[in-house]
Amino acid sequence: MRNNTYIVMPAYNEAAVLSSVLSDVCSAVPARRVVVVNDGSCDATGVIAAKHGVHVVHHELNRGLGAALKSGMILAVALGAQAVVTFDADGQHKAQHVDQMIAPLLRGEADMVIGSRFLKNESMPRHRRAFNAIGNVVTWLFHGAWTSDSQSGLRAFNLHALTNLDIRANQMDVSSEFIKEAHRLRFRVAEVPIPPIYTEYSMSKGQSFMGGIRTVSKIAIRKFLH
Amino acid sequence: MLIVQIFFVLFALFSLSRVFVMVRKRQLSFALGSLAIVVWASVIVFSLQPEWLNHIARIVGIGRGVDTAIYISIVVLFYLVFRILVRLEKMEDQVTTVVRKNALNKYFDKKKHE
Repeated sequence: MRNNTYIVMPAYNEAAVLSSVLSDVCSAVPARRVVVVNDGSCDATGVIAAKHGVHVVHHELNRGLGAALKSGMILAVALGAQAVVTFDADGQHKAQHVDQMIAPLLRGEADMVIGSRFLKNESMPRHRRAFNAIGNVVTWLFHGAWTSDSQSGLRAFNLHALTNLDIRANQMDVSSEFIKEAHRLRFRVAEVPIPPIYTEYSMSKGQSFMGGIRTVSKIAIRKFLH
Repeated sequence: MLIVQIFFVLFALFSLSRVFVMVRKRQLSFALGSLAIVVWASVIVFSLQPEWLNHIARIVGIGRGVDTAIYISIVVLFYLVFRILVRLEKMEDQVTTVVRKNALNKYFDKKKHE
């Protein structure tokens, strides 16, 4: 399974950091097992990704994190992935953690692994800690499932999870939807500690307060949709 | 008749005409169109006969007829906004499906020609 693990990276206007992120990723995983979803970027994101020799799929319109992740996962499975690690393109994650993420999958102990920034008591900007705590509570209230880091972008899935997940959220609400689906489908979920990495750039790309409100309202609306 | 009554009746008549046109052009579903017709017809009736609202107010236990109209309006507006949001969300899903299909098709086409 290790040799069939793919990285799925949604990217929207990440030209400033994408090259260094992809260099890091490709040092741990061959480029042929990296899928970048250029989600309607207006900058050179798609060109930079292509230069690294990874698989690049282009959304002609920006459809959001959830939509990009789903496209990337579909392509990865079509290319033969037995497992997928979702990875942020803004430099929040490090390729050295990929092995840790897939370890519970390789041991057959989990269907889904969440890279949690809260399992070790590491420092994190206070407002980010608060946002994530609210995200956990909202996920628990709407979906009845609790994890220590529901909003983490670093996740791993085995093929069983990939083929059964029914992801419909287009935007940031996808993070909570993964937890909902894992709960609905009774996946075995493992959490792996990862360090929180916050750069000035990743903070500027993160979800704003109003974005958070929008995400919560989307979760509420979708509750009535399905 | 007060000026405000004339204004409400004219506005409701205009809205009704728009609803009829939209239903005929199939821009509005029959169910939603019927609801809109009931709402705007009620506005005309209660604008011309505001004392009828007082009867309803007494029946449901609200002090004044005007308050009843405001409460009902708020509930109807909430419902309509919710319907619009749900509709919007469904349309977002449809756009995403098309964009994804197009993106993956282009990817595989490109690979085929490489």
